Amino acid sequence: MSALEVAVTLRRGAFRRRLDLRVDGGEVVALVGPNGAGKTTALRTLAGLHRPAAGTVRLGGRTLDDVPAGAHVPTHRRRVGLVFQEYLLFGHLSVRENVAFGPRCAGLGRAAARRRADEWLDRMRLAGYAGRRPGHLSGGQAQRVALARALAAAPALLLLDEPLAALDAGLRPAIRAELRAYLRDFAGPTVLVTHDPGDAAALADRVVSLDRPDATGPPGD
Amino acid sequence: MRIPAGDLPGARRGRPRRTRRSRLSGAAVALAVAVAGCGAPAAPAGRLTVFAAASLTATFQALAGTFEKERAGTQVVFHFAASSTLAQQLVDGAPADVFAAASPETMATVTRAGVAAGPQTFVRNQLVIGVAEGNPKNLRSLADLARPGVAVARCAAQVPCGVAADRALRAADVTLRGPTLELNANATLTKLTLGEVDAALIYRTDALAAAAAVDAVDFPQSAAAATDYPIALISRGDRKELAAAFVALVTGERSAAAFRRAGFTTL
Amino acid sequence: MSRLLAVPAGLAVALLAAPLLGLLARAPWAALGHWWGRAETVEALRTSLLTASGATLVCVVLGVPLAAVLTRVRGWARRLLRVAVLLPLILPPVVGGVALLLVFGRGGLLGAPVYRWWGVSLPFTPGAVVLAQVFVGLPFLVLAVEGALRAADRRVEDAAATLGAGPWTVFRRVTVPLVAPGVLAGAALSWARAVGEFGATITFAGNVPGRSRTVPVAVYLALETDPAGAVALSLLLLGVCAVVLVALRDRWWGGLA
Repeated sequence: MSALEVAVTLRRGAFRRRLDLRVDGGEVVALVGPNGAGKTTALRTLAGLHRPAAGTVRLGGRTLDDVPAGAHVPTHRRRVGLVFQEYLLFGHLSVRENVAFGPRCAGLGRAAARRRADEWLDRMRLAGYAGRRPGHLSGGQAQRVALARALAAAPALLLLDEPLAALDAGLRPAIRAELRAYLRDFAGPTVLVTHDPGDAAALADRVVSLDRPDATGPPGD
Repeated sequence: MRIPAGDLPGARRGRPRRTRRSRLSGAAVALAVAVAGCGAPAAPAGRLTVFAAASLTATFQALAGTFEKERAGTQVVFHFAASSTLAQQLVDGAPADVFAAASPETMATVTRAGVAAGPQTFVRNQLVIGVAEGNPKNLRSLADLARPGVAVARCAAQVPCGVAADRALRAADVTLRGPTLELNANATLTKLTLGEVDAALIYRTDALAAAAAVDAVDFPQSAAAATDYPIALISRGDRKELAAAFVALVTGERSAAAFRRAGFTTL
Repeated sequence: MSRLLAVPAGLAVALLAAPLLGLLARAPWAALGHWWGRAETVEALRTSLLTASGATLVCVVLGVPLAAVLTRVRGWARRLLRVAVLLPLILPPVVGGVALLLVFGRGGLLGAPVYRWWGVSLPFTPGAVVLAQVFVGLPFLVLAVEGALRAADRRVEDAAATLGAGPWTVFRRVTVPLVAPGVLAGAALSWARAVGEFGATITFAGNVPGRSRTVPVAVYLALETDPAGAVALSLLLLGVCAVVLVALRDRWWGGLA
């Protein structure tokens, strides 16, 4: 019952493309394709940051988008975790407060949210960095914090946008293996986007290729 | 409703002002030169610069009209502002031929500096209680202004109209409740015409000029609050003769009616 | 290149510093204590600092959301808002004061019914001083915050939304801290502008000692009879503002920089 079922037309400006996708709970699907294929648009649409032009998005039986019926669940009510390519950690908060952000939004008290955050930091071997500001982390650490922050919010769907792209080439194999272990522990469906077939093969159970549907796609997408 | 025209509260209608008349008289100069051989009156042509208290604006402009008509080729350029502002400018070397002040104290700062000499008092202005038209709060005396719930505007003690207000209130032995102490006569009047206060201690001349919106209530102590207006020649002016003629017109018998119409008391 | 910049930069410094040096040159050093210690001076300074701080608070509470709106709207609405924000900068403060009277005065559009029904009127009160200061100070805050918002990476707001934060939580916990440096800079600017406010204050709030007489008004009055006193009061205002701004700068920005 926790599967993601997508049957939409993506929209970003003048760009349109069809996306049909089913991802089961515990399954990791990689969307690969060249720039302009609509990978990031797909993730942002699943997260509710863009509205699809047509179609439906369902998650575990819940309807997130139903364009014909005019239904759209806003991002903050979707329970969809998104790890951005640039991580987008909150620079004014400590690592612990970053991870506690989701639990706080879910209604946990300050102390309970911090305990939850500390558990996640422990699990991701970040306990020593709880008091730091994100600006003082290495790339790999920041990526783990971003993942911990997303998972601590207890999402029903996990989305990762180019999770390894911002890392030094030398670090990538080690972090890739680590990330794979974390993703395996996640019970819900996971969709990740990458332009690197190697990353896709290493991280995902299944790879879905998105080609460029036409030449009108926005550059840099 | 009346809105202050100046962009600084101190400058009541206070920019250097050239009337349309004086610009036209530029053409008159040309004409006078052209017809000089044909027996035109031999008046001294020239520009006369007069610094005058803002409350004199209307009357002085009317008098200048007469003056220019009688002396073809003459042009009177006025600078109307708060007299204290003008006095400061004169002491600092502003070029002028005549200074007419709204208080002897202000004139004294100029004569003491040796900038002007021989001041003559030509009119007197008195305070009245300005109230909204019809006097809705029925204010009849200075004592009425101290009633609770009566909002009053008056000039601050640092400016001539405030000195006069202090004198009047002392003579009446009245202390106002938290009046707003405005920076000049015009700002005081404006607070009344905009309806922000119930009463204002203003000059009779200002009350008359704003008669459409304001009623004036005389009070006995206003004699103690009379302000003399002195006029004097500026010592460094180079149009002494013309300046003296203008002063003579202002202080002379035939200007009295114009001043009285404006609300001044003539001597 | 640096030579090329040095000349106009030096001129700019001279232009800014010369009036200050003029004040210092004419300062009645021996009489400063007398002027600064007078009850009226202390009263005016207190009124100035309290009203300016109140005005700054209002500017922040109203101005930050306005700046956020400004970054979001497009087209004619944005142009209209922009003009509204810039208007107080262009308008001579005295005109602003008159405009405030025409709206909030006892005979004003909003002020008249309020006066008729409840018998209260705003002019000549500390509240009127605050309103006049907000009017002239708000643009500084809005422009500073809008600049900070545009410079910031707004996608962290998206990140917050994916973590379950609703629009208000995003604004409070992410947007505001994100632009905090801009807000602080804007607050400092609008506070400074409020402290120096004269034209709108004297026109709208009048000059009632202890209620609406601020230091700039006292300076103007002193100038009528005692220019030395005006210089002494001006120096007091400059000194207090410099101390306050420097102290706050260290406290607020020390941790962030």
